[in-house]
Amino acid sequence: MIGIIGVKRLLILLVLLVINLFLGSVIYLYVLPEKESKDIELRGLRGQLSTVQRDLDKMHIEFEQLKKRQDRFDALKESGFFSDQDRGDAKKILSSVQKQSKVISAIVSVKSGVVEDNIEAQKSNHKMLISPIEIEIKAFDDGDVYRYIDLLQKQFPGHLSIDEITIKRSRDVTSALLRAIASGASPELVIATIKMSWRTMLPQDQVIVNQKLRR
Amino acid sequence: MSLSILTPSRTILMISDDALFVYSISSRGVKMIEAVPWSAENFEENVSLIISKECGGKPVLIINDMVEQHYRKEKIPRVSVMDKQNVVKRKLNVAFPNYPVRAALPLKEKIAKTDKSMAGSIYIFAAVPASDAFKKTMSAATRSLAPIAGFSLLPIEASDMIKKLAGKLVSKNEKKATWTIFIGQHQGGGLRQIVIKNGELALTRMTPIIETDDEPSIWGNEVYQEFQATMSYLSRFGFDASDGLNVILISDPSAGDIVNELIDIPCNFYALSPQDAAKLLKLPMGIHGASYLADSLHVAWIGRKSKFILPMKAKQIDNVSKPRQVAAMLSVLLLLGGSFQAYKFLDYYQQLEETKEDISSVSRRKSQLDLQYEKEVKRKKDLGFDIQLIQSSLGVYDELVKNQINVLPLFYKIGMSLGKDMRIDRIQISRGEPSITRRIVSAINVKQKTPLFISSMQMTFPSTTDADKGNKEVQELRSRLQKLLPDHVVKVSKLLEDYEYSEEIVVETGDENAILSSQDYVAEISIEGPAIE
Repeated sequence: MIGIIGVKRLLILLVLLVINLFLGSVIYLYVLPEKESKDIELRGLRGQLSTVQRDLDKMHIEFEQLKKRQDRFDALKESGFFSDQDRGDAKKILSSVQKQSKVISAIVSVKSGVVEDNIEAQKSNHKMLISPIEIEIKAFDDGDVYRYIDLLQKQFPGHLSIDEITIKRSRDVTSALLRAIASGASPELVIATIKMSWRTMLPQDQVIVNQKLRR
Repeated sequence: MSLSILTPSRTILMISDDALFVYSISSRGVKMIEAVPWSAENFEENVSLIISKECGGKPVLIINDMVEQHYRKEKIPRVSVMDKQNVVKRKLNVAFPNYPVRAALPLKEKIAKTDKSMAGSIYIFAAVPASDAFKKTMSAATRSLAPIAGFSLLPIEASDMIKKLAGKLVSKNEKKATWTIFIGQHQGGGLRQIVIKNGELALTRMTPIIETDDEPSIWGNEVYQEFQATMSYLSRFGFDASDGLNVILISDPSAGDIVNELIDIPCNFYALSPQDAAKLLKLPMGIHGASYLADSLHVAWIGRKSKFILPMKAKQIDNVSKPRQVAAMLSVLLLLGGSFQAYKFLDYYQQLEETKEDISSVSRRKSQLDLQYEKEVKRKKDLGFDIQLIQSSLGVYDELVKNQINVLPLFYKIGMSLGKDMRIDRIQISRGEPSITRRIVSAINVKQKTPLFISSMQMTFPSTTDADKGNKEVQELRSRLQKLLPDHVVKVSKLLEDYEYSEEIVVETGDENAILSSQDYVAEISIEGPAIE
């Protein structure tokens, strides 16, 4: 066979075969696996890059929103939404409100506070402190009662919500009453009973400290 | 088909009776390399050297131009396509049992079915003996290690050239002749006459005559005599003068004229030099001086063929050509494979480098973004933002605001609805609680709406009031309230007609004579809403 094909051609064939095998092995044993590995690496890096870019964009948006929300938050903080419901302060505010509203009398009873869980508050490790308030107001005019409520909601620390309110006329206007009014007296004509809830947010650790102190 | 015959560059070995003529054919033309007599010393070695060195080892095509080549017309009965090859092979074997080089060529001529005979095809069976010349040529070709493109018979392979040449020579107005005789002298001195009928080989003769360089008149006479002999053979082949005859003579013009004058039968006579014939056939011949021999024309024609009319088959040829063809094919395949792999390697490598560059670029970009991100985080920390606290506290506060009963706007709207003449004695507002049905439904996680507050307001009308008029006023008040509180449900829960004693009896001092006991009307309106989830 060598005689027919010739040594030279056989050598050429062998050389070509070796070149083919070498190129094949280089391609399939090095270049392609390396390329696949680098492709995976590149995809991973691109994914990471996209995540960082997204986080950064999100942060920028949050910054924009935060600047707006920060003002509201500051106002909330200022209004005592994060206070621990100091009874002394409450007493002072209630007295002031009573004077300003011109009601005849206001008997206020602030009950003991109850700590409650709130899903939204839990996200920032806070709890809700809720104190029921009962008020009995005697007034000459129902407008004084409304003023009292308005002032209370504006000046009281935290959030006050009315759960129940009853306003009733305590007396009919008679001739004698009219004469008394004409003489400058302010007789009691309206009685209002209000049940409210006083809510503030407290950090969880502060709640625990307070509970320990109470023990 | 051999791959080597794809190229027009070949070495042609023309076997004649006296010597082996070696030609080299390329795109530039035909070049006579050497004529090696059979009796030459170290014939195989010398010829193999000529093939490998002087001809550059180009693929070898062997053309047989010897006197001793046998042709026989054979009838093959019509058989199935599957069996045809075997039948032809068997018949060929029977026809030429002692000739190793043989082949069969089907002709256009067919035999119609008659009562006495079956339908069939006509074949030309050709064979060449395993002569000393053939053996020496094969041995030399084997030694040269050049690829063997094939082995063919000159008269058969020249038949299509003659047909084409006749077609070029005969003007379009003339009737096409059925028969054409091509006459030309070869280097060995023999005069080759090839007769074709309708483009297919009908007869061939090789006869020795004097050289063309000798006296043209003598040469012309000898050619004429051979022509006459051929014509006498042709009558046996069914030649009829009415079929038309072309005679093409390759010679110098003066000798051609002599032959033309001598021919006395009706025919179209053409005397051409090999160069003129090649020009008509558009064959590059190269420079051949004033040679009027026909060999080079045949070599130029046959040597450029990619497909032979009748490739001769023999074990001796196959033993050499097949492995070389396989090796050549393998070489080409490996070369193509290598080229493809090299291309793929470069392509993949370039892609790999691009990927690496991309990785580097993306890494740089990521590092920049990481840095930017860290800066932003620091900036945020420096600002003292507790994002979570801000978001959750505002969330809690908004929820409280959403669920708070805004009594003051409600009282304002009620006051607006009452006007100057009406008054209420008692109003009670309490937080709305879901009904039992709602509680059950909400227990199965279906959101149900509950009124934010429920309110009831009582109005006292004096006993002297016209009940109908009072009821109308209450209804009108309800309508006014509903208008001002569109997302609330305002109902009259008690009308004046339902008597009810007032809680107290009012006695006024000074009116002792008229102690009045009043039985006042009490009406009640309820307000519910707005609905919240």
